[in-house]
Amino acid sequence: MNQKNYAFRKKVKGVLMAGSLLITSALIGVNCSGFKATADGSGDFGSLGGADKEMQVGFLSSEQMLKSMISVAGVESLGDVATPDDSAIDMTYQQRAGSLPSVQNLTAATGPTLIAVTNLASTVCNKSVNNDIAAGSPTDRLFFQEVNFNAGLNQGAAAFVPGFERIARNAWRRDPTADEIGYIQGFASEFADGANLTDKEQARLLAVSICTSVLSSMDALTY
Amino acid sequence: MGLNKNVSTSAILAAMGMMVTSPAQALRNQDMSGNDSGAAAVYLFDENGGDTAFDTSGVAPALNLKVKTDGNLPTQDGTPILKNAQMMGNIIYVNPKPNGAETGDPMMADKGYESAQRHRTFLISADSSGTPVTADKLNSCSNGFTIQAFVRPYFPFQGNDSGNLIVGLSNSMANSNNPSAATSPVNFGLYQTGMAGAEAVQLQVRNAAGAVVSQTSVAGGFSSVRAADNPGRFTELIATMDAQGLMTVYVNRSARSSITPFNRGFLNSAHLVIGNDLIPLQNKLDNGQTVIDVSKQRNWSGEIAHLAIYCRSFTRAEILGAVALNKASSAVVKPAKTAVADTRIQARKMVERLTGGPIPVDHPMVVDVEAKLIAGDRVAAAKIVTGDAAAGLAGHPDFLNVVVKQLAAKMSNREETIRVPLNDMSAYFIGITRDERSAKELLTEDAYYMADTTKANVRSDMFNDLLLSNNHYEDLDNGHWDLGKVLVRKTGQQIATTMQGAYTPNPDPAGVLTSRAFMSAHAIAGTNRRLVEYAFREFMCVPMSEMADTSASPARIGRDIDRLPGGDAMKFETSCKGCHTVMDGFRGAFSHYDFASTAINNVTYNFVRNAQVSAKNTAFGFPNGTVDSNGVVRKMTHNEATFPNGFLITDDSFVNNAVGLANKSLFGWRGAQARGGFGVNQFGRMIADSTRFSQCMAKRVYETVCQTAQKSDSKVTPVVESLALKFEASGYKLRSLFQEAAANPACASGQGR
Repeated sequence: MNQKNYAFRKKVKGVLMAGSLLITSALIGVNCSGFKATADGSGDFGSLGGADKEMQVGFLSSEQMLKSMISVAGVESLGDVATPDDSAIDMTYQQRAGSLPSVQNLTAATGPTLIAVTNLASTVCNKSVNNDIAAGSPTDRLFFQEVNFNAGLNQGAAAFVPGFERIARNAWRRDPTADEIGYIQGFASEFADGANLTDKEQARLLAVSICTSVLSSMDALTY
Repeated sequence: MGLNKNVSTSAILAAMGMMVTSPAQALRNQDMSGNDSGAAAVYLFDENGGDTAFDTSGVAPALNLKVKTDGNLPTQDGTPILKNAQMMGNIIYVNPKPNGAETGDPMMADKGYESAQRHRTFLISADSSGTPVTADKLNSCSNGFTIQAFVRPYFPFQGNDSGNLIVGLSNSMANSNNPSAATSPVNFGLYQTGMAGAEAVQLQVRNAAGAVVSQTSVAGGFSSVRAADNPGRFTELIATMDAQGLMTVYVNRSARSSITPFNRGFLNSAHLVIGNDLIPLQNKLDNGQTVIDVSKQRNWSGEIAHLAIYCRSFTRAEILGAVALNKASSAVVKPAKTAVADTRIQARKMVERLTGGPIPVDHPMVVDVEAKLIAGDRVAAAKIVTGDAAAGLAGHPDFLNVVVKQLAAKMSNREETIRVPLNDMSAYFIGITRDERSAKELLTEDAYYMADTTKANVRSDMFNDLLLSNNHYEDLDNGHWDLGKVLVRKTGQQIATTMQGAYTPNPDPAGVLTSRAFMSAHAIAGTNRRLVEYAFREFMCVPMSEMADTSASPARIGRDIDRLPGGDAMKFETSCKGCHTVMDGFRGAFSHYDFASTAINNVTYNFVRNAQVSAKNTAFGFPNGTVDSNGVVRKMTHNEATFPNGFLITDDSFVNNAVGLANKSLFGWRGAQARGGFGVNQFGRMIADSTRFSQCMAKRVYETVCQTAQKSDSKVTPVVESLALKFEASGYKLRSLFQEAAANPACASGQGR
């Protein structure tokens, strides 16, 4: 656990959320052109798919969302709230539960809901990335195996892409497309603009942002 | 009602249902068994009188605590303050009767925390002559410490917004009467914080700058009611901090943590105190007169049964032990690099439908399910996810923790929302599914499901946490316990009867129909017609409007129903009668039941009562005028002047008026109660025996798993009819029904993204 970083994380939380929201908005809709709720909005489930096929999908309710996020992000135990990261997840969930969906209906995907989702995703990703950093060797990491977390952003955006692909595979349950990878690379490059390239905390924040954007995108919130 | 002082405190704690855990290292268990080995200071409060609580740790020098009343204020009526910290029966009572006007019994009801603030009794580390001494052996614990205390506060809110000190190493000068004296934070201390309903415990620690760094427990888990209302009830508190700054507060072993790297600034001049921080009294002007300002006092009023302080931290594993394994968890999935095959996608979809959320394609369970799908055995594939007793499969925990729970949650409340805490009705569903018992038991059995208290650290007192509140189930929910692991079936539903914690068997148990959740949703106020309406709505999937039958007999329609609404008899005959003939025919089954919400001494209790066993005019019985001489709750016979010739309920008989041509076909009545019967149990039996019940369960499960557009209509498709027949053939096993639904080709074709 990086205590110094933990204190710093609080300060940059707003920046992190804003960044994540930006990229989330870019990813929402990717590969989801047929995305729409049931016509009368009365069904509990929405419809998702291409023009040739309607498909019943469920929008995750609040509890499903929490469990799904910790599952795909490799956060092993929801009940383990005796570490700061886990307590933060639990606390964020309690604080945001009122804004998270209470029905499995795509009409519940409102602005406030998606902001709450992003907030929850960022706390889960915080734990996930910290787990990666704490892993014994890079190959023991779940996602960001190619990132040198001590090197700041000098290592370039490409080092973060494989991590994005792994998270996406878990959360979206498919491999990301070339377009989606391009978006993330673009985001990573812009993230570095103006940042202190040697600050190792920046590398961690970028990883958290990428993870957050994946976990809070529609492909991760529907099933 | 106080504690029985002839019984040891540990026996009391065990009897009241506090959980027994596997022995933790050094710390006492939650029933107070075990020992305090390694503690730097231990207080048993077994002195039975006197003014000294002796440190029994054996670690020199002993840090004894003396009762002090320095600086006490007179009561407003001038009555001298008594020395209100007393040790009796292995418990210390701190400020138990703040007003002091009543003599003797410290268990007498108090006058409120404002009085407690005026009564500054506390205990302080002192020598034999009573001179305060510093707590040197604790003041040096800046690299780690732990406090374990079993406490019972008297007030939900103790009067100070910054918290009231239970125990700590206090630095302020006491009783100086110096208004300008600076206060200084405790080295470390446990405070009660939060307002009523959100009571919490806060660990406060002093940093090098002399400021407070704190960690607060999960709100609401700290039972804080007056002794008289809450007999025998203690809360276990553990607060620990390690050398890295990880602070964790456990309330009945439910944890909350934070880490803040900081340099601790412990002063070596601190005293160990119980019951009040060492805040000096201050003068203030009040309407031109100089008076003592008590508002800054941090008095704590309550009981402590045991206290141990360690000069070391404890890890989560040491505190929670094997119980932690019963928390909900998920497999960590390392993404692979191989291409995702179509069969893997199909497998993933099936797993997701049965677990209620996204599952990584590389999850080992998805791989196993894919193998079964490739082999063409869809039911076997589903069994991997749902678990199966015969096959020895545990399944995915979220099948029970999410899918079954949400299905039941929606049926357990009037709004039919899933956003409700776990309750006894949902737990019953989960248990029945896991144990592969007949779903007909849901409406007929004298049983319930609760947590095995050796497997989950939750409030579990039958009287307080199951009958008078939903605490037990909310703790399971909030603690993220794995319900499939911790729930156990218990026989014998109970009803609370007296303030002293007594309860008696429910005379007419009927599974979830007589659960606290279902009763609280539908038996509160009203005329008990809602119980009938929702029993049919939830377990027959038929709204009242669809079962209305104006051709049926009006003989059972109550006297409170106007036969000339708006002066129009036709309206009654063509509209009102249709629903009421069916509904009123059935509602007699619930004639003895009510769900009450009663405030006693400012504490609100919500409970089921039954006129057959709940005495009249008692705390948890029926106030005068709310039940008649036949034992029928008055709300079902009132407004009798509306139509005096209407039906008067005199017993719990019910008649099935839903037997017209359309309803007969709709419900498919079968069994001994098809025409009617007596009581809720037979009413539940009537529903459970019908063909419609199995169809309704099949419809709910199919729509949950397969996510066809869920409408509120009652339409049953051929697929659902087919599943219902398989459901009955399986012995009404819900787990089997889920497997069949997920395996159904019609379901697979529509499964999500």
